[in-house]
Amino acid sequence: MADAPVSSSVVPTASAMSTASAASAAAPAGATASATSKSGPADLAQGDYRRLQAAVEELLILKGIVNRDEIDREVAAMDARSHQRGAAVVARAWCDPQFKAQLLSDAPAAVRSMGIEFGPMHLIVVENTPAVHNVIVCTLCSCYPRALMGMPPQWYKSIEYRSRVVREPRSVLAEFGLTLPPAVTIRVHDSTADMRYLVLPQQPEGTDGWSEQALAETLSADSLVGVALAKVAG
Amino acid sequence: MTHHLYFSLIEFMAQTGKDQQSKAPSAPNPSLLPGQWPDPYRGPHDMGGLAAGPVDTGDHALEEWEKRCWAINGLLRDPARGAAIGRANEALSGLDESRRHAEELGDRYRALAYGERAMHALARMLINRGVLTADEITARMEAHR
Amino acid sequence: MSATVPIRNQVSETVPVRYQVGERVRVRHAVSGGHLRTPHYCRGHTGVIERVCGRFPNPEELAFGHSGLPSLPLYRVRFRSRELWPDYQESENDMIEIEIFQHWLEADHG
Repeated sequence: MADAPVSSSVVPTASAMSTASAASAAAPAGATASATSKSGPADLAQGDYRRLQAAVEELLILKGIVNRDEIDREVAAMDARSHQRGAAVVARAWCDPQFKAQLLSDAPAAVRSMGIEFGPMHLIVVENTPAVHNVIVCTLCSCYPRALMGMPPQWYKSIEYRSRVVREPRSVLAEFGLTLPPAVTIRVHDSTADMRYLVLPQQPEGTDGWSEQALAETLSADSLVGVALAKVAG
Repeated sequence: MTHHLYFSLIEFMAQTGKDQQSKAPSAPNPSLLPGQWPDPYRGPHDMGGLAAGPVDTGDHALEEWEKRCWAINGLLRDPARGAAIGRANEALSGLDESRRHAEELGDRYRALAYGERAMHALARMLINRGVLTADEITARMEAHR
Repeated sequence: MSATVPIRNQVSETVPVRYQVGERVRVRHAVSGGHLRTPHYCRGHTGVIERVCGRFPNPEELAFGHSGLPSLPLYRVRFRSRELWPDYQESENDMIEIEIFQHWLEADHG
């Protein structure tokens, strides 16, 4: 592979984006503003990133590198992935001790046996017990077990969560409405490299004998990364 | 031992001993403002332990363009993609490369939303790799005004 | 940098696993101008190898478009939260586990 140059002459967005900024001043505010940063003003209005995305997509299609259908299919697959996969895996583990043992020792193989291909990343499942509560974070970016969970929620990617959960996990969990007794040890997992993590929560009381499907419904996305517990609705 | 081409590692501990060791990694300074970093070599993304406000535990869906940015990034990681532009067996995107471009936003990192950083990184990575030129991106963006 | 320093390791090299589960290690207190996956908050601190994850391409090289080969041993290192934050206010048993590549670790003999 050719070495990628790193000189400042390839810092192009200075030109691409200053033009975009100038353009945006006169641009109609056609874009919705729901995802704008809370943290401060950006150089480009949100609509500029939307235009940047459209420009890059069109150029890649023009050059024959990708086509629109492929992108549409990827987006559809993304929309189809949700935490329900992770919930199904955990519910199976609650019902099947052998599966649970495999999930804790070789998670990629265990989820593959349920027809879920975890992809190039490696999966580690960590078990909550009465003595230990696990919490997942990626302080450096937003690594998340997407194959089992879909895209991460906004809070998982936020500066606030990433900064604070390693330093004051109980205060952060309290903001999610979860208060743990001081006797419970908190294990925070910082997903910094090639591993991805899923929490195996404790099965809620009074659910013995429930079907896997009913058990899966006690699991929110938040519970599968440790900022909530599994709980029976109502 | 790995040798790093672009930046040689600097060992601080050996040079400064215990004093340096007790100072860092420093506890976060509660008065630290976003954009003020205790260590010039600490990237803007490397925020574990820094002071920050309460977590907004709500969620909202990604916008279509954010999903498409993510989808393109994924597709370009396939080494078969380079063939279309005469670069056989060359993936045109890489996860760590994309992260590096986002980190190079410096102080702007915190000002941008997550999807904006990702889009910024994708565009820069493609220009850096010679897949697209800045000029053609600018021209296309103008067309979307 | 000396001209005799190789700019890339041999791709065929297999980097041996140097640390075992349970061993005490210290994260190098070092910096780099490049792309790192070793969080600032753990540098210079000691922990225990929780598991050996296998070998993975070096992200510091991948970040600049290189192969990242040879792959390097990756570990999960367990730290006491109070080791990382001396004034940690919450339970003293709390812990943080972080994935760290071998070249960021050195044996800690107390």
